[in-house]
Amino acid sequence: MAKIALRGLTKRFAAFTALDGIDLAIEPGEFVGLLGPSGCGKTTTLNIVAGFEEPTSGEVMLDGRNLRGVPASQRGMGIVFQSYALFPHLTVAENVAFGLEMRKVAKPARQQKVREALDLVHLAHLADRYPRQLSGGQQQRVALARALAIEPALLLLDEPLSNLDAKLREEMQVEIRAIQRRVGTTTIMVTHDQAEALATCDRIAVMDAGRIVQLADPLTLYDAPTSHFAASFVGRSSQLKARIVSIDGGRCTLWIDGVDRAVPGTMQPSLQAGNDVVIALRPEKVRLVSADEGFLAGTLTSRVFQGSSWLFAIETPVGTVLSSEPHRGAPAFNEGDRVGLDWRPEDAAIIAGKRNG
Amino acid sequence: MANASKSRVPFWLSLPALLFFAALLVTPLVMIAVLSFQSFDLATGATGGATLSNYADTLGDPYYHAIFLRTVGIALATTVICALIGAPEAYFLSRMRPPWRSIFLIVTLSPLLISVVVRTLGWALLFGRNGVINNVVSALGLSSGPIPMLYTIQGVVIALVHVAVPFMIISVWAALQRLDPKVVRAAQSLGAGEVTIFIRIILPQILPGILSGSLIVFALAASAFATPAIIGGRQLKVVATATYDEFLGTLNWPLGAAIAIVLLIVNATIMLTYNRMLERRYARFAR
Repeated sequence: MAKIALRGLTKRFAAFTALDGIDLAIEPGEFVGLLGPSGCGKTTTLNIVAGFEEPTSGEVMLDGRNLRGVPASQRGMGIVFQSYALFPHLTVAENVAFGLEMRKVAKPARQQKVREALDLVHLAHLADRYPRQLSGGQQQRVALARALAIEPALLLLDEPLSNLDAKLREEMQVEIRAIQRRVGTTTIMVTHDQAEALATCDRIAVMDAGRIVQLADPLTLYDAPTSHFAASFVGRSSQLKARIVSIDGGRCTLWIDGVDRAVPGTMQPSLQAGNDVVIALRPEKVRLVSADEGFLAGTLTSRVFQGSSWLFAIETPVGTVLSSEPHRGAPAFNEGDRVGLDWRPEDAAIIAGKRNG
Repeated sequence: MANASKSRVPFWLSLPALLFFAALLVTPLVMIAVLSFQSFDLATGATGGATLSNYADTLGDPYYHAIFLRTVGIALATTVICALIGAPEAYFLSRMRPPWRSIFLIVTLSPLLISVVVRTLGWALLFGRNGVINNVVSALGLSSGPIPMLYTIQGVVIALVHVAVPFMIISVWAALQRLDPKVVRAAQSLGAGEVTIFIRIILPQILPGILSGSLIVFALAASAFATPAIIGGRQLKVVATATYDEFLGTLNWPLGAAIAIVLLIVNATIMLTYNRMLERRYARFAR
């Protein structure tokens, strides 16, 4: 049975639909990300699960029990807020102990659990400090320890890393993932950062305008996005309009109008020959070759050094295509060169295009 | 050279305010202080010279002891009641939804738009033997005779609370604005009920606001004149009304000045000590 299941969750405000029928079942121990831009409904979903907002319709089932009408204080969920929301007048240990105190855990057991929770986030040595004496990363760990100390039914993370600087954020991604694996608490994380979602989640629900547009594991989401939105929101991709001309098992041949050229791609079961589609190409999967080879030809308009990699922009008759390659010395092509673009059929994801669009 | 003249810019810019402050506050205060050391003669009035007899009279006379104790007592009671009313009120206001929040905040602060004298006269109408409150009480048969409120300490305290409570609300309101609203949700998710959240999470964080509000309320109540004069009348004197009577009743200006200076010192001492205590206590977690 799913640990938590959202069924047809809908939330309407006067003139605005924040959630438009969210269905999501999360297995015990799973780490699921709600990914989307601001206003997509991910935070509203989290607030409804936490009990801070009531849905207009739909149900939240925790271990098969309907949570409708159960107040937030009775749901037993551990929440880490974007602002951390630590209690500034309490020490680190008192912050972590608060939830246990509310549960009337006896003092010796409480101290033991506080100690364990702080050990988990490597902060036992700061137990007597006040939150304002800690760095952002440390405050974030305290917030995590406080949420985990109550052994929550569900761990909810609301943009937990967005207030940290880039380097610390990457470290915390790894750490949050490791801690979640260790304690095994079912977790929902809300984020607008696709890299964060890809790095930490077992499955990602990409949300747009109050709906889940794709629910998949990170690899599938990245390699086989099923919508424009998912393809452009998760990672970078170049999109080329095309039409399916023939299908051969999992592969297909596509016709690109502007260049009168047939190119290969990977099929999606829902599509048929004749459909207008979009080819989504990840930059690192597009290879630069000499101008008379490859599927498309174009002019290299920019070549940017990014440290570990190079990013190229190639102007083709059907739009700009991005390509990147790892840095192993100066690349063979310069700005202004005519180049060819090549990719493997399995690396060209096909997305249903807008009709006549 | 340019640097030296530049560093004087703040001084020149604040000079008008400094002069204004000196002319309107420091000068009269110094004059009062000087006056308080002069001797007094019923026939000739203030006669100059230097004497401590006015202070000896003020500090040695049980009559003035009673007045000072009454003043401090009234100010303390007003402060405590203002804190008990103002802190929860500010919290409720802050939890209201947007349109109502600003409407009720304005309603709460609106008494400040009316003169203290007018408001206090209003209380006098309510408090009298045949005032509205006693009429209602006797009509409901709740009391055998009229409840004395006019010319009593509790009457003065009630009227002073009405005057001072908006200052407490403003002060607590400011403290509430600095609070991360998510801490309420964090406490909820950890299993705390509304009352626990207020007592364990909100109250400790707005305590500095309550305490600084208390300073304002205490200072206002201890030096209030109009309210004790109208509600307290001639019998129930506080320091401010006693000073007034010395100046304009018996025309003993030096004694009046000495009483005023003693009140100033008592008030300033209480407030400075209190403020020092506060800062030490809350330096730990205050931003």
